[in-house]
Amino acid sequence: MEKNLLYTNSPDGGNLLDTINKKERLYQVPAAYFEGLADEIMAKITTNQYVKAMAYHVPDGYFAGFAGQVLNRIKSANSEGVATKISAERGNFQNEQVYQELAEIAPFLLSIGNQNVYQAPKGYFAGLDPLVQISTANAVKPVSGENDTEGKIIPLTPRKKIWRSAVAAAAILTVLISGERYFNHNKNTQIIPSSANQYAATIPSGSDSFQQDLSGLSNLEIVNYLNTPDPSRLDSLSEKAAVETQRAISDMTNEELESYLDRTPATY
Amino acid sequence: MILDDGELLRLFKQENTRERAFTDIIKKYQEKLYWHVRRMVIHHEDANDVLQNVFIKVWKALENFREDSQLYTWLYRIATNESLTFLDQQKRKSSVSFDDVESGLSNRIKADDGFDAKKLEWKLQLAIQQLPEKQRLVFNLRYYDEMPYEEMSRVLDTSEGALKASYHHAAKKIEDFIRNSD
Repeated sequence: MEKNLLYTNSPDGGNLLDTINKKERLYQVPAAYFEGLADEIMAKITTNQYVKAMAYHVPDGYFAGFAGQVLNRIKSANSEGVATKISAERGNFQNEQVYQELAEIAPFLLSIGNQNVYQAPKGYFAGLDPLVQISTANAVKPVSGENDTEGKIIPLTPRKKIWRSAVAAAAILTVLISGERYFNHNKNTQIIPSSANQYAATIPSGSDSFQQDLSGLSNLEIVNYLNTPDPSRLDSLSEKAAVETQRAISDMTNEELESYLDRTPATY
Repeated sequence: MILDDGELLRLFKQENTRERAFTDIIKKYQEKLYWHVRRMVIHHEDANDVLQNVFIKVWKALENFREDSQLYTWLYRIATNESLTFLDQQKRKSSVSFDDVESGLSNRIKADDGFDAKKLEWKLQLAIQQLPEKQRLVFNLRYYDEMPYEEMSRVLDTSEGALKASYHHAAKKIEDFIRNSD
C-alpha cells in the first residue's frame, strides 16, 4: 500500500489523482452521435405524444443542437483552464471490482481514467446501419469527396461477376483447342533439337548443298571466322587473366602496388 | 425501448421482423464493439471496415446462434477475431517484422488529430501498444470495457486465472512504461 501511495504522489508532493481532470473531454465522443441520439429521443417523445402532454414548449430543433452546445461549452471551459477539479477517487470506472483490482496492482492507471481518446467521424454512429447501406450500396455511388466521412460499404451479399468467369473459361478453352490442333498437325514433322550442336549434327555434312555453301566462302572469310574467339571460352580466359594479375601483384613492391592502384580506377 | 437479447433473437428468427431486430442489435452493440475494435486497429477507417465485417458475419451466422452463450460475448468474440485477422493481414501485406508493425500502431496514435504527447491519456495509449496482442486485448477488455473475467474467458477462450495474470502483468508493464517515459 505504501508503494501505491508513492505512485499517486506527484512531483510537487500533491496527490497525482487530484491533478487530473476526469471530466475533460480528451476522449472525444463524436458530436453527431449525441445529435442523433437527441433526434431519436425526440422522435420517441413525439411518438408517445409526450409533447402534447407537456405544458412547456421548446424551440424547434433545440434538442438537435443541445448536445453540441454542451460539448462546446465544456471544450471552451477546458481551453480557458477553468474546468473544475473533481475528485479522482473513482475515476471513470463503473465496475467496482475492476476499480479495486486496479487500485491494488497499478493505482497510477486509475488516475488516467478509461474514457476513449480516439474520435469517430461526425455522424458515424448515426449512419451505421448496414441494412440501409447494403441496400443502397449498388444503387448510388457517392461522388468522390462528397461523402468522405462515410466508410467503405461492404455488400452483405456480393454479386458474383459471372461474366468474368465466363470470359476466363472461354480464353482457357481457346488456348487448349489451339494447342491440341497445333500439335496434331505437326506431329509428323521433325522435332528441332534443343541445342545448336545437336542441330548441326543433324545437317548432312556430306550433302551437296553444305559443300556448295562452304565452297562459296572466300579464304579470308574462313580465316576471319576461325580467328574469332569462341564466346564459350571467355570465362576461362578471364579467369586466366585474373590469375596472372594476382601473380603480377604478388611480385610487386609496395610502392609499385600503390602506384598501380593510383592509376587504376576504383569503379568500372 | 431497448429489448433484451433474448427478445431480439426471437424477433430475428421471424422473417417479418428479422431486419428490424438486426438493426436493433446493431444499434445496441455498435458503439461497444466499435471502440473495442478501434483500440486494436487505431484508425477509424480500419475500425469501420472491421466492424462492418463483424456485423455481416453476425447476420450470416445469427440464425444458427446457440443461445446457451450470451449474444454479447459472442459478438465480442467475433469482433476480436476480426480485429486480429485484420492485424495479421496488415503484417503480411507490409512484409515487415512484428516490431515494425507495433511501432506503426504507435505512429498511428501519434498521427491522431487529438494526440498530445504530454497527456497521460495518450501516454497510456502508446504504452498499450507496447504489449503483445493478446495482452493488449485482455487489458483493453478489462480496463476500458470493464468486462468480468468470466465473460472475458468466453470471449478469448482462455481460463480466468490466465486472464487475471495477463491483466496484472499488462497493468504493471504499462505503469512502468509511462513512468519511464517521463
